[in-house]
Amino acid sequence: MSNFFPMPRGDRWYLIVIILFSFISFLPWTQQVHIAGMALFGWLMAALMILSPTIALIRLIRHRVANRGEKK
Amino acid sequence: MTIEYLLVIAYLVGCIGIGLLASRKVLASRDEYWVAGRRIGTMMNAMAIMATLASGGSIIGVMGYAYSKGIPYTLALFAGAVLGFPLASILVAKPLRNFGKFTITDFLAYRFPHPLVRYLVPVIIVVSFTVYIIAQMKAAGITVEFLLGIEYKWAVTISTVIFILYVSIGGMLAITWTDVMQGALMLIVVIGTAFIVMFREGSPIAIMEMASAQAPALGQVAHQPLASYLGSFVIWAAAIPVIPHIVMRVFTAKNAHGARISLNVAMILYSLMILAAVFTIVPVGKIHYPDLQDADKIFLQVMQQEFPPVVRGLAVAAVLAAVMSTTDALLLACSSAISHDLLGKYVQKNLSEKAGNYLNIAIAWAVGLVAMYLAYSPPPLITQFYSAAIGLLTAALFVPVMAGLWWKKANLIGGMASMIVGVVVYLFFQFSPWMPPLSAILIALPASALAMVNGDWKSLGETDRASDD
Repeated sequence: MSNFFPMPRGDRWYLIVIILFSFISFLPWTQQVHIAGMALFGWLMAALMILSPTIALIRLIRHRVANRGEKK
Repeated sequence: MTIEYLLVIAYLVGCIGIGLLASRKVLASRDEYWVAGRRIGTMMNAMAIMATLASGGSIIGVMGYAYSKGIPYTLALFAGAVLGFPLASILVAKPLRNFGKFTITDFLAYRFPHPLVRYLVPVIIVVSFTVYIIAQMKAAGITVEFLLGIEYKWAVTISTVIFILYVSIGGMLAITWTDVMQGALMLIVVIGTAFIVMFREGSPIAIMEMASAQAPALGQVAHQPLASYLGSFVIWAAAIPVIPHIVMRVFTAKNAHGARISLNVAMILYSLMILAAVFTIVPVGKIHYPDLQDADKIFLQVMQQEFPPVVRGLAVAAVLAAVMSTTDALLLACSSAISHDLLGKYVQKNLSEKAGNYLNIAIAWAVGLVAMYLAYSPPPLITQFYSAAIGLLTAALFVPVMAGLWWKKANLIGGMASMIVGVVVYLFFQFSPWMPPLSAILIALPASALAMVNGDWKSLGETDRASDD
Protein backbone atom coordinates (compact mmCIF):
# COMPACT_ATOMS: atom_id res chain seq x y z
CA MET A 1 0.00 0.00 0.00
CA SER A 2 1.46 3.35 -0.99
CA ASN A 3 -1.19 5.40 0.87
CA PHE A 4 -2.19 5.68 4.54
CA PHE A 5 -5.93 5.30 4.16
CA PRO A 6 -7.90 3.36 1.55
CA MET A 7 -10.31 5.62 -0.35
CA PRO A 8 -13.81 4.12 -0.48
CA ARG A 9 -14.85 3.18 -4.01
CA GLY A 10 -17.86 5.52 -3.91
CA ASP A 11 -15.64 8.48 -3.01
CA ARG A 12 -13.27 7.60 -5.83
CA TRP A 13 -16.09 7.48 -8.40
CA TYR A 14 -17.57 10.68 -7.07
CA LEU A 15 -14.24 12.48 -7.50
CA ILE A 16 -13.80 11.09 -11.02
CA VAL A 17 -17.29 12.21 -12.05
CA ILE A 18 -17.00 15.79 -10.75
CA ILE A 19 -13.50 16.21 -12.17
CA LEU A 20 -14.74 14.89 -15.53
CA PHE A 21 -17.71 17.27 -15.36
CA SER A 22 -15.32 20.16 -14.67
CA PHE A 23 -13.08 19.09 -17.55
CA ILE A 24 -16.01 18.96 -20.00
CA SER A 25 -17.17 22.38 -18.80
CA PHE A 26 -13.86 23.91 -19.82
CA LEU A 27 -13.90 22.48 -23.40
CA PRO A 28 -14.04 25.28 -25.99
CA TRP A 29 -17.49 24.44 -27.39
CA THR A 30 -19.17 25.30 -24.08
CA GLN A 31 -18.03 28.89 -24.53
CA GLN A 32 -19.62 29.24 -28.00
CA VAL A 33 -23.10 27.92 -27.19
CA HIS A 34 -25.35 30.53 -25.53
CA ILE A 35 -28.54 29.85 -23.60
CA ALA A 36 -30.72 32.68 -22.24
CA GLY A 37 -28.01 35.25 -22.83
CA MET A 38 -25.20 33.32 -21.14
CA ALA A 39 -22.52 30.94 -22.41
CA LEU A 40 -23.19 27.26 -21.67
CA PHE A 41 -19.93 27.33 -19.69
CA GLY A 42 -21.55 29.65 -17.13
CA TRP A 43 -24.61 27.39 -16.79
CA LEU A 44 -22.38 24.34 -16.32
CA MET A 45 -20.43 26.13 -13.58
CA ALA A 46 -23.74 27.03 -11.89
CA ALA A 47 -24.87 23.41 -12.17
CA LEU A 48 -21.59 22.22 -10.68
CA MET A 49 -22.07 24.54 -7.70
CA ILE A 50 -25.40 22.92 -6.84
CA LEU A 51 -24.80 19.33 -7.96
CA SER A 52 -21.41 18.58 -6.41
CA PRO A 53 -22.34 19.27 -2.74
CA THR A 54 -25.88 17.87 -3.18
CA ILE A 55 -24.66 14.55 -4.55
CA ALA A 56 -21.97 14.36 -1.88
CA LEU A 57 -24.54 15.03 0.83
CA ILE A 58 -26.96 12.40 -0.50
CA ARG A 59 -24.12 9.87 -0.54
CA LEU A 60 -23.15 10.69 3.05
CA ILE A 61 -26.71 10.41 4.32
CA ARG A 62 -27.27 7.12 2.48
CA HIS A 63 -24.02 5.84 3.94
CA ARG A 64 -25.15 6.78 7.46
CA VAL A 65 -28.56 5.16 6.99
CA ALA A 66 -26.90 2.00 5.66
CA ASN A 67 -24.53 1.94 8.65
CA ARG A 68 -27.42 2.27 11.09
CA GLY A 69 -29.22 -0.58 9.32
CA GLU A 70 -26.17 -2.81 9.67
CA LYS A 71 -25.85 -2.03 13.40
CA LYS A 72 -29.49 -3.00 14.02
CA MET B 1 -30.74 57.19 8.21
CA THR B 2 -31.82 56.52 11.84
CA ILE B 3 -33.27 53.07 11.12
CA GLU B 4 -30.11 51.99 9.29
CA TYR B 5 -27.93 53.15 12.17
CA LEU B 6 -30.11 51.43 14.78
CA LEU B 7 -30.04 48.10 12.90
CA VAL B 8 -26.28 48.22 12.44
CA ILE B 9 -25.65 49.22 16.07
CA ALA B 10 -27.96 46.43 17.30
CA TYR B 11 -26.03 43.95 15.17
CA LEU B 12 -22.61 45.13 16.37
CA VAL B 13 -23.68 45.14 20.04
CA GLY B 14 -24.95 41.57 19.52
CA CYS B 15 -21.54 40.48 18.19
CA ILE B 16 -19.63 42.02 21.11
CA GLY B 17 -22.13 40.53 23.58
CA ILE B 18 -21.57 37.06 22.13
CA GLY B 19 -17.79 37.59 22.33
CA LEU B 20 -18.03 38.52 26.01
CA LEU B 21 -20.31 35.59 26.78
CA ALA B 22 -17.96 33.16 25.02
CA SER B 23 -14.89 34.65 26.71
CA ARG B 24 -16.04 33.33 30.09
CA LYS B 25 -15.77 29.80 28.73
CA VAL B 26 -12.70 29.97 26.53
CA LEU B 27 -10.00 31.92 28.33
CA ALA B 28 -9.29 29.07 30.71
CA SER B 29 -8.43 26.46 28.06
CA ARG B 30 -6.47 26.24 24.78
CA ASP B 31 -8.79 23.59 23.37
CA GLU B 32 -11.82 25.80 24.00
CA TYR B 33 -10.12 28.83 22.42
CA TRP B 34 -8.91 27.17 19.22
CA VAL B 35 -11.51 24.48 18.43
CA ALA B 36 -14.48 25.34 20.67
CA GLY B 37 -13.93 22.18 22.70
CA ARG B 38 -14.51 20.02 19.55
CA ARG B 39 -18.25 19.73 20.23
CA ILE B 40 -20.00 21.93 17.64
CA GLY B 41 -23.10 20.22 16.17
CA THR B 42 -23.38 19.37 12.46
CA MET B 43 -25.91 22.01 11.36
CA MET B 44 -24.39 24.73 13.51
CA ASN B 45 -20.99 23.92 12.03
CA ALA B 46 -22.49 23.97 8.50
CA MET B 47 -23.85 27.48 9.00
CA ALA B 48 -20.55 28.58 10.53
CA ILE B 49 -18.56 27.13 7.59
CA MET B 50 -20.86 28.85 5.12
CA ALA B 51 -20.44 32.16 6.94
CA THR B 52 -16.67 31.66 7.14
CA LEU B 53 -16.30 31.17 3.40
CA ALA B 54 -18.92 33.80 2.51
CA SER B 55 -16.77 36.84 2.99
CA GLY B 56 -17.23 40.41 1.91
CA GLY B 57 -16.02 38.95 -1.38
CA SER B 58 -19.11 36.75 -1.54
CA ILE B 59 -21.53 39.67 -1.34
CA ILE B 60 -19.75 42.84 -2.41
CA GLY B 61 -16.94 41.15 -4.36
CA VAL B 62 -18.93 38.52 -6.23
CA MET B 63 -21.35 41.09 -7.58
CA GLY B 64 -18.59 43.54 -8.47
CA TYR B 65 -16.64 40.78 -10.18
CA ALA B 66 -19.67 39.61 -12.20
CA TYR B 67 -20.53 43.20 -13.11
CA SER B 68 -16.99 43.89 -14.29
CA LYS B 69 -15.73 40.57 -15.69
CA GLY B 70 -18.96 38.80 -16.64
CA ILE B 71 -20.98 36.08 -14.92
CA PRO B 72 -19.18 33.03 -16.44
CA TYR B 73 -15.79 34.27 -15.20
CA THR B 74 -17.19 34.86 -11.72
CA LEU B 75 -18.89 31.48 -11.59
CA ALA B 76 -15.64 29.76 -12.64
CA LEU B 77 -14.01 31.18 -9.51
CA PHE B 78 -16.86 30.43 -7.12
CA ALA B 79 -17.57 26.99 -8.62
CA GLY B 80 -13.93 26.21 -7.89
CA ALA B 81 -14.53 27.14 -4.24
CA VAL B 82 -17.64 24.96 -4.08
CA LEU B 83 -15.88 22.02 -5.73
CA GLY B 84 -13.12 22.44 -3.16
CA PHE B 85 -15.49 21.46 -0.36
CA PRO B 86 -16.25 17.90 -1.50
CA LEU B 87 -12.51 17.58 -2.16
CA ALA B 88 -11.85 18.80 1.38
CA SER B 89 -14.50 16.50 2.74
CA ILE B 90 -13.08 13.39 1.04
CA LEU B 91 -9.38 14.12 0.85
CA VAL B 92 -8.74 16.08 4.06
CA ALA B 93 -11.49 16.00 6.72
CA LYS B 94 -11.25 12.35 7.70
CA PRO B 95 -7.51 11.66 7.29
CA LEU B 96 -6.49 14.90 9.01
CA ARG B 97 -8.62 14.09 12.02
CA ASN B 98 -7.17 10.58 12.03
CA PHE B 99 -3.68 12.07 12.22
CA GLY B 100 -4.91 14.02 15.27
CA LYS B 101 -3.11 17.25 14.40
CA PHE B 102 -4.27 20.67 15.50
CA THR B 103 -3.39 22.87 12.49
CA ILE B 104 -2.13 22.46 8.92
CA THR B 105 1.32 23.51 10.16
CA ASP B 106 1.18 20.86 12.89
CA PHE B 107 0.38 18.23 10.31
CA LEU B 108 3.04 19.32 7.83
CA ALA B 109 5.67 19.67 10.57
CA TYR B 110 4.80 16.15 11.77
CA ARG B 111 4.87 14.69 8.27
CA PHE B 112 7.90 16.67 7.03
CA PRO B 113 9.84 17.36 10.24
CA HIS B 114 12.17 20.25 9.51
CA PRO B 115 12.44 23.79 10.98
CA LEU B 116 11.95 25.28 7.50
CA VAL B 117 8.50 23.70 7.27
CA ARG B 118 7.64 24.70 10.85
CA TYR B 119 8.47 28.36 10.14
CA LEU B 120 7.71 28.82 6.43
CA VAL B 121 4.11 27.58 6.58
CA PRO B 122 2.90 30.05 9.25
CA VAL B 123 4.68 32.92 7.50
CA ILE B 124 2.88 32.11 4.22
CA ILE B 125 -0.41 31.80 6.09
CA VAL B 126 0.03 35.17 7.81
CA VAL B 127 1.04 36.97 4.57
CA SER B 128 -1.82 35.50 2.51
CA PHE B 129 -4.41 36.04 5.19
CA THR B 130 -3.34 39.62 5.87
CA VAL B 131 -4.03 40.39 2.18
CA TYR B 132 -7.36 38.55 2.51
CA ILE B 133 -8.23 40.63 5.58
CA ILE B 134 -7.38 43.89 3.76
CA ALA B 135 -9.90 42.99 1.03
CA GLN B 136 -12.54 42.31 3.67
CA MET B 137 -11.88 45.63 5.31
CA LYS B 138 -12.38 47.42 2.01
CA ALA B 139 -15.77 45.69 1.68
CA ALA B 140 -16.75 46.85 5.17
CA GLY B 141 -15.42 50.35 4.57
CA ILE B 142 -17.17 51.05 1.26
CA THR B 143 -20.45 49.59 2.56
CA VAL B 144 -20.55 51.72 5.69
CA GLU B 145 -19.38 54.77 3.72
CA PHE B 146 -21.91 54.29 0.93
CA LEU B 147 -25.00 53.39 2.92
CA LEU B 148 -24.41 55.14 6.26
CA GLY B 149 -22.42 58.14 5.05
CA ILE B 150 -19.45 57.63 7.39
CA GLU B 151 -16.05 58.52 5.90
CA TYR B 152 -14.20 55.45 4.47
CA LYS B 153 -11.25 55.51 6.89
CA TRP B 154 -13.51 55.87 9.91
CA ALA B 155 -15.74 53.11 8.60
CA VAL B 156 -12.75 50.76 8.26
CA THR B 157 -11.43 51.74 11.71
CA ILE B 158 -14.71 51.26 13.57
CA SER B 159 -15.56 47.91 11.98
CA THR B 160 -12.00 46.62 12.45
CA VAL B 161 -11.86 47.51 16.14
CA ILE B 162 -15.22 45.87 16.80
CA PHE B 163 -14.45 42.59 15.14
CA ILE B 164 -10.97 42.28 16.59
CA LEU B 165 -12.55 42.89 19.99
CA TYR B 166 -14.93 39.95 19.86
CA VAL B 167 -12.50 37.57 18.13
CA SER B 168 -9.72 38.29 20.55
CA ILE B 169 -11.82 37.74 23.64
CA GLY B 170 -14.07 34.93 22.46
CA GLY B 171 -11.88 32.63 20.33
CA MET B 172 -13.43 29.91 18.18
CA LEU B 173 -16.54 29.61 20.35
CA ALA B 174 -17.44 33.29 19.84
CA ILE B 175 -16.64 32.95 16.16
CA THR B 176 -18.91 29.93 15.80
CA TRP B 177 -21.83 31.55 17.64
CA THR B 178 -21.52 34.81 15.70
CA ASP B 179 -20.97 32.96 12.42
CA VAL B 180 -24.30 31.19 12.81
CA MET B 181 -26.06 34.52 13.32
CA GLN B 182 -24.08 36.16 10.51
CA GLY B 183 -24.65 33.29 8.06
CA ALA B 184 -28.41 33.46 8.63
CA LEU B 185 -28.38 37.24 8.15
CA MET B 186 -26.45 36.98 4.86
CA LEU B 187 -28.77 34.30 3.47
CA ILE B 188 -31.88 36.24 4.42
CA VAL B 189 -30.65 39.53 2.93
CA VAL B 190 -29.14 38.22 -0.33
CA ILE B 191 -31.79 35.60 -1.12
CA GLY B 192 -34.55 37.93 0.14
CA THR B 193 -33.27 40.72 -2.11
CA ALA B 194 -33.08 38.31 -5.05
CA PHE B 195 -36.74 37.31 -4.50
CA ILE B 196 -37.84 40.95 -4.39
CA VAL B 197 -35.91 41.63 -7.61
CA MET B 198 -37.55 38.60 -9.27
CA PHE B 199 -40.98 39.76 -8.09
CA ARG B 200 -40.36 43.15 -9.71
CA GLU B 201 -38.46 42.20 -12.87
CA GLY B 202 -39.30 38.56 -13.70
CA SER B 203 -37.54 35.18 -13.55
CA PRO B 204 -33.72 34.94 -13.53
CA ILE B 205 -33.87 33.70 -17.16
CA ALA B 206 -35.95 36.73 -18.20
CA ILE B 207 -33.64 39.08 -16.27
CA MET B 208 -30.56 37.51 -17.88
CA GLU B 209 -32.04 37.84 -21.37
CA MET B 210 -32.85 41.51 -20.76
CA ALA B 211 -29.40 42.24 -19.33
CA SER B 212 -27.50 40.40 -22.06
CA ALA B 213 -29.48 42.24 -24.74
CA GLN B 214 -28.22 45.49 -23.24
CA ALA B 215 -24.75 44.31 -22.17
CA PRO B 216 -23.88 41.12 -24.12
CA ALA B 217 -20.49 40.78 -22.40
CA LEU B 218 -22.21 39.99 -19.10
CA GLY B 219 -22.88 36.40 -20.21
CA GLN B 220 -19.94 35.82 -22.52
CA VAL B 221 -16.64 34.00 -22.05
CA ALA B 222 -14.60 36.79 -23.52
CA HIS B 223 -13.16 38.99 -20.80
CA GLN B 224 -9.94 37.07 -20.22
CA PRO B 225 -7.94 34.25 -21.84
CA LEU B 226 -9.23 30.78 -20.97
CA ALA B 227 -6.16 30.23 -18.75
CA SER B 228 -7.48 32.91 -16.43
CA TYR B 229 -10.87 31.17 -16.15
CA LEU B 230 -9.16 27.86 -15.43
CA GLY B 231 -6.73 29.49 -12.99
CA SER B 232 -9.58 31.09 -10.99
CA PHE B 233 -11.30 27.72 -10.83
CA VAL B 234 -8.19 25.78 -9.81
CA ILE B 235 -6.99 28.29 -7.19
CA TRP B 236 -10.13 27.92 -5.13
CA ALA B 237 -10.76 24.22 -5.79
CA ALA B 238 -7.27 23.49 -4.49
CA ALA B 239 -7.31 26.15 -1.76
CA ILE B 240 -10.38 25.02 0.17
CA PRO B 241 -8.92 21.64 1.23
CA VAL B 242 -5.82 23.30 2.69
CA ILE B 243 -6.97 26.75 3.74
CA PRO B 244 -6.39 26.90 7.50
CA HIS B 245 -9.50 28.79 8.61
CA ILE B 246 -11.69 26.21 6.86
CA VAL B 247 -9.61 23.27 8.07
CA MET B 248 -9.92 24.55 11.65
CA ARG B 249 -13.68 24.10 11.27
CA VAL B 250 -13.09 20.38 10.64
CA PHE B 251 -11.63 20.17 14.13
CA THR B 252 -14.58 21.87 15.81
CA ALA B 253 -16.97 19.12 14.65
CA LYS B 254 -17.86 16.26 16.97
CA ASN B 255 -16.63 13.64 14.47
CA ALA B 256 -15.30 13.24 10.93
CA HIS B 257 -18.67 12.18 9.50
CA GLY B 258 -20.32 15.24 11.02
CA ALA B 259 -17.55 17.41 9.60
CA ARG B 260 -18.15 16.03 6.09
CA ILE B 261 -21.92 16.58 6.28
CA SER B 262 -21.33 20.13 7.56
CA LEU B 263 -18.98 20.93 4.69
CA ASN B 264 -21.52 19.88 2.04
CA VAL B 265 -24.56 21.51 3.65
CA ALA B 266 -22.51 24.70 3.95
CA MET B 267 -21.72 24.57 0.24
CA ILE B 268 -25.33 24.14 -0.82
CA LEU B 269 -26.28 27.24 1.20
CA TYR B 270 -23.28 29.15 -0.14
CA SER B 271 -24.07 28.23 -3.77
CA LEU B 272 -27.69 29.31 -3.42
CA MET B 273 -26.55 32.68 -2.10
CA ILE B 274 -23.96 33.26 -4.86
CA LEU B 275 -26.30 32.16 -7.66
CA ALA B 276 -29.16 34.29 -6.31
CA ALA B 277 -26.84 37.30 -6.35
CA VAL B 278 -25.33 36.84 -9.84
CA PHE B 279 -28.53 35.83 -11.64
CA THR B 280 -30.78 38.56 -10.26
CA ILE B 281 -29.07 41.49 -8.53
CA VAL B 282 -26.10 41.78 -10.93
CA PRO B 283 -28.08 41.75 -14.21
CA VAL B 284 -30.58 44.25 -12.82
CA GLY B 285 -27.68 46.43 -11.65
CA LYS B 286 -26.12 46.19 -15.13
CA ILE B 287 -29.38 47.29 -16.74
CA HIS B 288 -29.99 50.24 -14.41
CA TYR B 289 -26.41 51.37 -13.65
CA PRO B 290 -24.25 50.34 -16.62
CA ASP B 291 -21.33 52.73 -16.04
CA LEU B 292 -20.21 52.36 -12.41
CA GLN B 293 -16.61 53.45 -11.78
CA ASP B 294 -16.08 51.06 -8.85
CA ALA B 295 -17.74 47.75 -9.79
CA ASP B 296 -17.58 46.58 -6.17
CA LYS B 297 -20.32 49.14 -5.37
CA ILE B 298 -23.01 47.58 -7.56
CA PHE B 299 -24.86 45.85 -4.69
CA LEU B 300 -24.75 49.05 -2.64
CA GLN B 301 -26.02 51.09 -5.60
CA VAL B 302 -28.98 48.75 -6.09
CA MET B 303 -29.69 48.85 -2.35
CA GLN B 304 -29.51 52.62 -2.11
CA GLN B 305 -31.67 53.36 -5.15
CA GLU B 306 -34.24 50.62 -5.03
CA PHE B 307 -34.84 49.57 -1.43
CA PRO B 308 -36.29 51.22 1.70
CA PRO B 309 -34.16 52.17 4.78
CA VAL B 310 -34.95 48.99 6.73
CA VAL B 311 -33.61 46.78 3.93
CA ARG B 312 -30.59 49.08 3.52
CA GLY B 313 -29.84 48.77 7.24
CA LEU B 314 -30.11 44.99 7.00
CA ALA B 315 -27.86 45.07 3.91
CA VAL B 316 -25.15 46.97 5.81
CA ALA B 317 -25.45 44.50 8.70
CA ALA B 318 -25.29 41.58 6.23
CA VAL B 319 -22.15 42.87 4.52
CA LEU B 320 -20.54 43.53 7.89
CA ALA B 321 -21.62 40.02 8.90
CA ALA B 322 -19.98 38.57 5.79
CA VAL B 323 -16.80 40.53 6.38
CA MET B 324 -16.66 39.78 10.08
CA SER B 325 -17.51 36.10 9.81
CA THR B 326 -14.55 35.56 7.51
CA THR B 327 -12.15 38.05 9.03
CA ASP B 328 -12.65 36.70 12.53
CA ALA B 329 -11.69 33.22 11.34
CA LEU B 330 -8.74 34.64 9.36
CA LEU B 331 -7.56 36.57 12.40
CA LEU B 332 -7.84 33.48 14.57
CA ALA B 333 -5.90 31.47 11.98
CA CYS B 334 -3.18 34.17 11.81
CA SER B 335 -3.08 34.31 15.58
CA SER B 336 -2.79 30.51 15.67
CA ALA B 337 -0.04 30.56 13.02
CA ILE B 338 2.04 32.96 15.10
CA SER B 339 1.38 31.93 18.70
CA HIS B 340 0.88 28.19 18.17
CA ASP B 341 3.08 27.44 15.15
CA LEU B 342 5.86 30.02 15.31
CA LEU B 343 6.11 30.61 19.07
CA GLY B 344 4.58 27.31 20.19
CA LYS B 345 7.55 25.93 22.11
CA TYR B 346 8.22 29.22 23.91
CA VAL B 347 4.54 29.61 24.81
CA GLN B 348 4.24 26.06 26.16
CA LYS B 349 7.43 26.35 28.23
CA ASN B 350 6.99 29.82 29.68
CA LEU B 351 3.32 30.75 29.69
CA SER B 352 0.28 29.38 31.46
CA GLU B 353 -2.80 28.57 29.34
CA LYS B 354 -4.38 31.83 30.41
CA ALA B 355 -1.25 33.89 29.61
CA GLY B 356 -1.00 32.07 26.26
CA ASN B 357 -4.54 33.11 25.42
CA TYR B 358 -3.76 36.73 26.33
CA LEU B 359 -0.84 36.49 23.88
CA ASN B 360 -3.34 35.34 21.22
CA ILE B 361 -5.41 38.41 21.92
CA ALA B 362 -2.37 40.68 21.48
CA ILE B 363 -1.44 38.95 18.21
CA ALA B 364 -4.98 39.26 16.84
CA TRP B 365 -4.87 42.98 17.58
CA ALA B 366 -1.44 43.39 15.95
CA VAL B 367 -2.43 41.57 12.73
CA GLY B 368 -5.80 43.35 12.58
CA LEU B 369 -4.28 46.80 13.03
CA VAL B 370 -1.60 46.22 10.37
CA ALA B 371 -4.28 45.06 7.92
CA MET B 372 -6.44 48.05 8.86
CA TYR B 373 -3.59 50.45 8.09
CA LEU B 374 -3.01 48.80 4.70
CA ALA B 375 -6.75 48.86 3.95
CA TYR B 376 -6.76 52.65 4.12
CA SER B 377 -5.45 52.48 0.51
CA PRO B 378 -7.87 49.87 -0.87
CA PRO B 379 -7.22 47.68 -3.94
CA PRO B 380 -9.60 47.59 -6.94
CA LEU B 381 -11.76 44.46 -7.39
CA ILE B 382 -11.35 42.78 -4.02
CA THR B 383 -12.17 39.27 -5.24
CA GLN B 384 -9.26 39.21 -7.69
CA PHE B 385 -6.97 40.76 -5.06
CA TYR B 386 -7.54 38.19 -2.34
CA SER B 387 -7.79 35.28 -4.79
CA ALA B 388 -4.23 36.06 -5.86
CA ALA B 389 -3.12 35.90 -2.21
CA ILE B 390 -4.96 32.62 -1.68
CA GLY B 391 -3.18 31.34 -4.78
CA LEU B 392 0.13 31.73 -2.96
CA LEU B 393 -1.17 29.64 -0.08
CA THR B 394 -2.50 27.01 -2.49
CA ALA B 395 0.76 26.85 -4.44
CA ALA B 396 2.70 26.31 -1.21
CA LEU B 397 0.45 23.89 0.66
CA PHE B 398 -1.79 21.87 -1.67
CA VAL B 399 0.74 19.32 -2.91
CA PRO B 400 2.55 18.81 0.45
CA VAL B 401 -0.75 18.38 2.33
CA MET B 402 -2.30 15.99 -0.20
CA ALA B 403 0.88 13.97 -0.65
CA GLY B 404 1.45 13.98 3.12
CA LEU B 405 -2.03 12.65 3.78
CA TRP B 406 -2.35 10.17 0.95
CA TRP B 407 1.08 9.13 -0.25
CA LYS B 408 3.23 7.14 2.14
CA LYS B 409 6.30 7.64 -0.05
CA ALA B 410 6.13 11.42 0.31
CA ASN B 411 9.28 12.31 2.19
CA LEU B 412 11.04 15.27 3.76
CA ILE B 413 13.02 16.27 0.66
CA GLY B 414 9.95 16.09 -1.54
CA GLY B 415 7.80 17.93 1.01
CA MET B 416 10.21 20.82 1.39
CA ALA B 417 10.99 21.00 -2.32
CA SER B 418 7.33 21.03 -3.33
CA MET B 419 6.59 23.83 -0.86
CA ILE B 420 9.49 26.04 -1.95
CA VAL B 421 9.06 25.38 -5.68
CA GLY B 422 5.32 26.09 -5.38
CA VAL B 423 5.95 29.47 -3.73
CA VAL B 424 8.79 30.57 -6.02
CA VAL B 425 7.11 29.53 -9.28
CA TYR B 426 3.80 31.09 -8.21
CA LEU B 427 5.36 34.42 -7.25
CA PHE B 428 7.45 34.53 -10.42
CA PHE B 429 4.50 33.98 -12.76
CA GLN B 430 2.01 35.98 -10.69
CA PHE B 431 4.13 39.10 -11.14
CA SER B 432 5.03 38.35 -14.78
CA PRO B 433 3.35 40.85 -17.11
CA TRP B 434 2.63 38.22 -19.77
CA MET B 435 0.52 35.93 -17.56
CA PRO B 436 -3.30 36.36 -17.55
CA PRO B 437 -4.74 37.19 -14.10
CA LEU B 438 -4.86 34.30 -11.61
CA SER B 439 -3.30 31.82 -14.05
CA ALA B 440 0.09 31.45 -12.30
CA ILE B 441 -1.37 28.60 -10.25
CA LEU B 442 -1.65 26.47 -13.42
CA ILE B 443 2.15 26.36 -13.58
CA ALA B 444 2.91 26.47 -9.86
CA LEU B 445 0.87 23.38 -8.88
CA PRO B 446 2.38 21.00 -11.48
CA ALA B 447 5.84 22.37 -10.64
CA SER B 448 5.21 21.71 -6.94
CA ALA B 449 3.99 18.17 -7.72
CA LEU B 450 7.06 17.48 -9.85
CA ALA B 451 9.28 18.65 -7.00
CA MET B 452 7.50 16.26 -4.63
CA VAL B 453 7.93 13.28 -6.97
CA ASN B 454 11.53 14.24 -7.71
CA GLY B 455 12.24 14.33 -3.96
CA ASP B 456 10.89 10.80 -3.69
CA TRP B 457 13.13 9.57 -6.54
CA LYS B 458 16.16 11.27 -5.00
CA SER B 459 15.60 9.52 -1.68
CA LEU B 460 15.03 6.21 -3.47
CA GLY B 461 18.41 6.69 -5.13
CA GLU B 462 20.00 7.33 -1.74
CA THR B 463 18.33 4.24 -0.29
CA ASP B 464 19.63 2.15 -3.20
CA ARG B 465 23.16 3.51 -2.71
CA ALA B 466 22.95 2.82 1.04
CA SER B 467 21.84 -0.78 0.40
CA ASP B 468 24.66 -1.23 -2.15
CA ASP B 469 27.15 -0.08 0.50
